[in-house]
Amino acid sequence: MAAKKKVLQTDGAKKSFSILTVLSHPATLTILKLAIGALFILASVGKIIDPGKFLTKIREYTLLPFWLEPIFAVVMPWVEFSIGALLILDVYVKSAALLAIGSLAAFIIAIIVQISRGVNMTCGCFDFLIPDEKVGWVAVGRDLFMIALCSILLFFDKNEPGFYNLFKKK
Amino acid sequence: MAKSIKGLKKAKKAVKISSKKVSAISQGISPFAGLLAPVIIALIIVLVVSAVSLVINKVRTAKKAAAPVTITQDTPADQSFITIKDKNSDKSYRVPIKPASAAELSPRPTPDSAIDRAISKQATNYNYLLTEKVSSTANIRRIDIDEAKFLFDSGKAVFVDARARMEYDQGHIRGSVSLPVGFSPEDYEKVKSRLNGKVLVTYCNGVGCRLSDKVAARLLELKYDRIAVFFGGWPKWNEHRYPIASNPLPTPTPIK
Repeated sequence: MAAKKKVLQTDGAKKSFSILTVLSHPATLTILKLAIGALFILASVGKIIDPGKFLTKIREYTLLPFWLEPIFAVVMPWVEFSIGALLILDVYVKSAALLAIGSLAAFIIAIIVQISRGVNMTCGCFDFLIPDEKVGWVAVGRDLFMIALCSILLFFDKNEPGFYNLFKKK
Repeated sequence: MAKSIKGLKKAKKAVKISSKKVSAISQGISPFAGLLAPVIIALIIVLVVSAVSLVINKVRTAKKAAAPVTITQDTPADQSFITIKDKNSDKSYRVPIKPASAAELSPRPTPDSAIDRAISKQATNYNYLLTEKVSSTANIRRIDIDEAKFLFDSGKAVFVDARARMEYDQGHIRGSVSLPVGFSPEDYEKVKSRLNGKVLVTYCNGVGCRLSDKVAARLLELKYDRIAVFFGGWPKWNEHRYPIASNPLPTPTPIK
């Protein structure tokens, strides 16, 4: 009876140990950083090249005050680009992940507001990759999934200019 | 009895060791350990990036303003197109021109008027708003301030104020009619003649206001098929200082 108890109790500890190991593995973190970083950079490029088009899209959402819309249209793409660059270069990953989570949460709120308004419009989230993506629960689900991935980086990575230890003295 | 107690103690020890290992790993990578520093660094990154991006945008805008309109003839003189570049929108337009000919009797347009015609025809490309037809609420177009102004200037649209009558009286887009949400048949009959043959543009209080969508849906039920929703609404029209009007206050009748 006691031996059975021992097996049952240690088995749970072994399981949580392996999930944590997989998530915290450097290879997992590297893949996540490169993938999410590339996505953010691709999302920002179109908006940096044509901020006017992005401003029109922001205005369609009718969420921000009039005076803030042009500032947001100029600043947001560069913030996205910085997030992507920081993740890809492995620099202050926790901060970059925090910013990514914040911006994704803001996009989710904006999309949900449009869904509740019954608005039929394109999202403008990844115009470079998916130009005609409509506002909907698919976009919300995708952003939630990305928040989950960024959370892994937030929990398990470091917050220093790491550069994948390429410049570390041996 | 003693053996089972010993076995239990051993099992407890084994569990303690393995759980210590797990907590050692999770402590080293705890999500809340030192979250303050990443937050501060994130804020610094946002501030720096915002400042840099605003500076870059300012430089870009200044460069565009300084650049002149360029006209290049990209084809030989006897061909019929020139390219005009608009400094403000950074777009290029191909303008057809009549080639010089001994047989030509009509005067050749001057370069300035050619530029004006090309830019006015192609830069404000909102003509689709006058012809687009709507079959369901899902494809009622939401238009911005520039499109709304285009429709206002065209004279082929009527703005429909979806706000309460009192708000309409206090101030409305010039020339608009008042049809608040849930308007009565009598209200509708009063303005019906003004709506026929026009593009109907509903508006209300802008951000978060759904009244214009509801009135647009009602107009669709009344078989109008050229409808748009000006989502910026009254606040945006006012911000741009476009033409507005108000109804005079009723003269108070003296109490006898």
